Amino acid sequence: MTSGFETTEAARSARGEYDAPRSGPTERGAGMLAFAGVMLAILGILNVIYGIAAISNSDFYVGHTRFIFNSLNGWGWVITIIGAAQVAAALSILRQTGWGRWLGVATAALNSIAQLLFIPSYPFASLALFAVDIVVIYALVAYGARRAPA
Amino acid sequence: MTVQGAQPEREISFQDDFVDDGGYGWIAFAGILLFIVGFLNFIEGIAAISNSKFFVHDTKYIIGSLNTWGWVMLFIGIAQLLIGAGVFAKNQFARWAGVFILGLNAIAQLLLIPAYPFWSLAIFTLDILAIYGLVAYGSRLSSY
Repeated sequence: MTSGFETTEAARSARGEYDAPRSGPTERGAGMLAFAGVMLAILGILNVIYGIAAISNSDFYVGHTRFIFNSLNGWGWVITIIGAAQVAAALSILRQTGWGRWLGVATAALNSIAQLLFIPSYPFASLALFAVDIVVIYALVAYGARRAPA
Repeated sequence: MTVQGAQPEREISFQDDFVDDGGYGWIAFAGILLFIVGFLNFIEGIAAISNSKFFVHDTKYIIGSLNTWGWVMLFIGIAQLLIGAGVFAKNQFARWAGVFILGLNAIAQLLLIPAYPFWSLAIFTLDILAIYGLVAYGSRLSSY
């Protein structure tokens, strides 16, 4: 009877192919949430580094740029503060406390706006971070509410 | 699939064979991406250490110089190749080490952007994809 190839759940768990139920919305959501947490950590660290560089008017940035409003220095402060909040949100999401998800959505949304207004200073970096912001918002909004806060 | 002639334990649905691979496809994809990204970082690192003319001249970096970033990339590249082998050996530690080193590489690539923007952006994208595969599916598969 046991050919080793049964696909029923009992047969699979007997062969040790399960360590936890793998299907269902909760599981999917957990993976996406952890992904959003890691992305927020990367975003936060990069924003803080870029922000500090902008505050000190680093030569790294394109010289004599015009922004829609604000200056390189002013944007530096904005980006640094957003970055710090994103690191906090990432820690909260990875530790599965509830508030980090909303802070994550809020800071990723604010950051996507700030990055596009900050584009003249370093276009490639802004565009890359903008794309990651959008992915984070998707992951948190689509999957964040599925599992009750621990 | 049961032995021919035997009574099936229950009706076998389409999903049993195809859907429930537990995300191993994503893990394997992340492993291949680790090899690709590791190899590219290795090459880029050597080129940057020797200050290759391939890179944009007279660039300013937030921190470090082309030479120091070259060393960083070389080490990250070697680590990624080793971790990629670990992922294919189905080692659980390699999956989390992979998330860490890929995250580090994503950050390093964006700080290294001035040297060669499109290269950095391409590798940054691959890093993000591989992190997704490892994070979203890595913890489920300790028995695979």
